[in-house]
Amino acid sequence: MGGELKNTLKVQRAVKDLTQADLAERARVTRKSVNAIETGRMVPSIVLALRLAGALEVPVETLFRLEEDGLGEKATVEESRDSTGQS
Amino acid sequence: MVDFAETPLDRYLRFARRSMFLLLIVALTLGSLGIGFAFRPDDPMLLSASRMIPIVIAILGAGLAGFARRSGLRVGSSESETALRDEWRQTILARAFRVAFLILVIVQVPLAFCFTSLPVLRALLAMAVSTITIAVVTFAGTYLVLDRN
Repeated sequence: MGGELKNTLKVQRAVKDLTQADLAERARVTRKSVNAIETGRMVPSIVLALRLAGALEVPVETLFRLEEDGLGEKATVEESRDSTGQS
Repeated sequence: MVDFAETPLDRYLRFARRSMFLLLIVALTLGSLGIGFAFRPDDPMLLSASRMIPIVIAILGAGLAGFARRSGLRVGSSESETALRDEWRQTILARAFRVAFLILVIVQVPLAFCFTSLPVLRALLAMAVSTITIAVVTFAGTYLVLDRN
């Protein structure tokens, strides 16, 4: 079981016009932690992921997604089929 | 050049980094002295250096405490709690522990060969001192390298 955690932290930060230091202060972590997560050097705990999502006022799923060999794509296709009622 | 305003949290992190650097220096100095004693127990230079060590450690410690006071750092403050519980810090501490443990296991046999010329008791002392020194230096060094960004 593998998969890589991708995040949109940088994009969401830019949307809110926040620096890494601003986000770190809001989420009560250090700027180094924000930087390490943003660059993919660290996988945050659930608590920290929720805290970052809360600080950026977005759902945690918007911020983080698991990229597995084709599984993410498959799930997205199936979800869109379900929503359009296709079999 | 981007100019970041230094927050109390940044000051705390700088203090933590300095403390780790101090640990590295003290471990290296004490380790070198210990190994020196194992090889040349009656060396007058080593004896006088060993008398200076507590003074040097006290001066370095006072310097660090002075830095903490000047920066307004307090134990138990919200900044110190945030820094202590920070996940990146926990991650690099864990990585530094792993690296130090691995290095420690690997160097045991080569170290033993280094001290074969010594009498048993002094070889034991040299092994103990070098093992502790390598562990602390590798741990602190790895931490400082990983924490440099």
